[in-house]
Amino acid sequence: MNPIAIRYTIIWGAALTGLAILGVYTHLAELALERSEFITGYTLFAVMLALALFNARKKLAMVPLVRSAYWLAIHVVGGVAAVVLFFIHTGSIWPAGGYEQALAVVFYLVSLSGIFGYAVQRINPRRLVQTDLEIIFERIPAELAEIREKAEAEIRACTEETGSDTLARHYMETLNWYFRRPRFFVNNAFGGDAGQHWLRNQYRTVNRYLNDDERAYLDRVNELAQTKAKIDVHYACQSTMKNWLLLHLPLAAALLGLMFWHVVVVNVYAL
Amino acid sequence: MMDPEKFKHDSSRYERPTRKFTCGRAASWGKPCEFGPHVSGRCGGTSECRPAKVGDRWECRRSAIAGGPCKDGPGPDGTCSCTHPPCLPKRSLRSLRGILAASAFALVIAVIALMLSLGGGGNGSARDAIIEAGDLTGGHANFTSSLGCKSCHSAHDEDAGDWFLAAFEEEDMTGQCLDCHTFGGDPRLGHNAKFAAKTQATECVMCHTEHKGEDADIKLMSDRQCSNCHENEIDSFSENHPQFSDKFPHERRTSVQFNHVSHLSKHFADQRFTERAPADCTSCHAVDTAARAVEPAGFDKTCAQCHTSAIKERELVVLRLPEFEENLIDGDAVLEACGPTLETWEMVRENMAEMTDAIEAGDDVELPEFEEEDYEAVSLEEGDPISAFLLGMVADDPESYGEPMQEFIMRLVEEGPAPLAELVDEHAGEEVSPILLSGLNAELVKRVACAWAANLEYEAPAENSLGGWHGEALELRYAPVRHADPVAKGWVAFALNSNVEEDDDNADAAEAMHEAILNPKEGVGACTKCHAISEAEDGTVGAEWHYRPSNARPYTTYSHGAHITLLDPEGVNLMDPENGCRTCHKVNEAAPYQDSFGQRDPHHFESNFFPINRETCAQCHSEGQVQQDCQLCHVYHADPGFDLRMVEHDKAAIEE
Repeated sequence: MNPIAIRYTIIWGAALTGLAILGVYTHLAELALERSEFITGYTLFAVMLALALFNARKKLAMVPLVRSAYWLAIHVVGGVAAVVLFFIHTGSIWPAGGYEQALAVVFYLVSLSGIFGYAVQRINPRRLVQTDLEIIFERIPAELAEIREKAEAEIRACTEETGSDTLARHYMETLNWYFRRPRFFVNNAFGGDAGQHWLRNQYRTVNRYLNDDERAYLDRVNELAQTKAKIDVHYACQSTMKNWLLLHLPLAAALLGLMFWHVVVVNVYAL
Repeated sequence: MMDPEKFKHDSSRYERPTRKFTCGRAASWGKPCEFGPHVSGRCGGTSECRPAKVGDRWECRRSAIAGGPCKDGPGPDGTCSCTHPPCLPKRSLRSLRGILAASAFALVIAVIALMLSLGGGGNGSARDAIIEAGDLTGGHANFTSSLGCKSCHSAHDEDAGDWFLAAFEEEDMTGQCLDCHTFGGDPRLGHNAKFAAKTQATECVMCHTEHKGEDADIKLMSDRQCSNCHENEIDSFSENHPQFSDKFPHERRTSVQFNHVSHLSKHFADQRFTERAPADCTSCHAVDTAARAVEPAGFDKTCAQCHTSAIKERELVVLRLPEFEENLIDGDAVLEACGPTLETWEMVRENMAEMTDAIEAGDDVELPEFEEEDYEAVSLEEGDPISAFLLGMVADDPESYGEPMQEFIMRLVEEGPAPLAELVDEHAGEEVSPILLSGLNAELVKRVACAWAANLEYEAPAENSLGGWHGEALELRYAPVRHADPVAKGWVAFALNSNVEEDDDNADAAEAMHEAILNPKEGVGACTKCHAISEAEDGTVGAEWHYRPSNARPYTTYSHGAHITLLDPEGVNLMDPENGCRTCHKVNEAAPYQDSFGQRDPHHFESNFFPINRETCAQCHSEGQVQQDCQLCHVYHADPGFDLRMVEHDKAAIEE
């Protein structure tokens, strides 16, 4: 068994044991006409705080607080456990009160965004490897600028050496749009091949109007376009891997705020 | 694969993703500058290098990544000659995430604070919106509308400090519930009652939690919750619910002795009574609207079909003129109180005529001399048991009753029914005469007494056909006017409650009075032919005049109405032993039903019907068929009700 599997097995085991204990306790408390909401509620509260600490842990990289991989595993398993615990606590999927409904909506959004993020983190790296290209997300603009400069240099050279502006006009009308910035974002994010299809179309369109000299320049431009297409895939995948947190984190912060108020109100009114 | 040489330290910039800003040129997909923006967010790429002064000369410091020292070099004042217009740096993703997260948290806190500052004080207010945990059930919503949350949560309208401190104090929610709800026992005890087994203290919120919506059923409990306290764990009704009692559903005999066996098999089947016999069970039992108890329709709609005529014939003799050995009554006093009798008038008239004739003939007039005649009592009867008991005399001993009875008659002559009322009240130990002598006319008493005082039989002016009090020769009688006649019932109660010790002088008279009044074969005692005489737990004895719904098994409920729609008894022949009501209520022809009424313990009885057992119900209420959970037949609370304070409370709040 590899270390990751061992890690997740241990954490899943602990989580399932905890959930089982709470589930049994809730069931017995219900039979004994006792109120289990306070125990399950405060447990959920503690779990949510622990999940939120994952973000703080990332900012405190210098502090030796167990390996980050464990924190991630705890965050993932704890997140799933929190959803189960939420159902145990509320006893339904949709509470009755307006405030509790708002709390539930935010909780579900945080959970769904978390699940989405986890799925993206599991799927996209494999797709990035398949591109046979490595690039740092922050360097993509510079890479694109460099590729664009090279492409434009090829076009200029072609015009100067062959005396034909066919390729230059084609570039200005079509490829210039393509090289200006990442394209086909949504298609790339979902694993489509629209960029390649578009490039092939453009290549075939102009290829028949070029002579052999011009065709050599076209081939080099096409190579640059192929590289750019891979960078587009990187941009789409890496953007998705980073941007889902723009939803998850603010929602989690809002959930913490709502949760604190819920704890106060419950203690004032229900105790 | 990207050229790995590109990322070497001398050919690649060092990326700092923790910075708050990124180059604006890169953000617009241009070539990013060398230095990137300043920490403050200002553009740091207006020049390609920062020239350094070496000696008295400025040297270009453009990095190798950017192409090395430039051709023109720095200006004489040390400014870079390769300048660009500034860009508009953009926030990094990390910074943006932090801002959004902090903003979201702040927004939530701000909204909560805003809602709190807008205040509350009524349903739908801003503050309540962030507190309300859900709609109340219909009933509770109505009764809390005026006071709002404060109706149950005392901290609701407190100032912020006290409100917050309430989080650390326990609220007595049960006490709040008891402002409106009442129970037949301690509300904090299981089933509102004390049981032999130790039970834990209960609070309303243990079972009833609110704020689950207007239509929520907050009374619903699971069978397992019932089993938590009950030692006999029941998996399901059809499986291992304890068997019903051996006489279920009866725990005592009926108030009225009605033999279903004889009526069904004999009387209703008799050709002479067919037209008057009920068509089916519901002719007498109003089942369709009945819950657990099925009250019979009443005498007028049921028994009266056959048993009306006999009621008026059941007369009660309250006073009888007995035979006296000697006349102790003062005739002058009677004459003065009652006036002359008819015989006296006739004698006077004859004497007057003789005297007139003598005067007209010129004869000497001699005043007639009234000779004392030998006394011959007009009555040869014994005294009646009731007056004998009341006067404390022996009914068949003229020597014993002669004097007190004649004195009593004289008192009746002079005072009307008052002496009789006095005696009745004295023996009953309470004022019962207004009921027992209800309708007894003073004139009737005087006329009867005057006749008896004059040693005459009372001659009634007309035959008594309507019932009620009337004199008949030597007796003062009462004939019941109708069923449930209050006077007749009163005398029966009088007889039952007149307990005399065995060694009392009046014991024999009391026994005779008991027999006279309670004899089921004649007189008002016929009431007890149907109405059972029972001894209550406190030792009092009484006739059971009314239908008596069972008060046993207070935690059990049943709806005849709900079941009867399935069985359709109106379409079933009364004699059909298998269908309709008799699907469950099987007549037991061999049961000694009537023997149960020969004694006074109502709990010692035999029913006309076979007991209903668990299997009867389980025919339908079993796994996979009809519902069989505990709450279907059992209720938790004892005598749940409402306190009028809730209305007053609500009114006061509205006025406020």
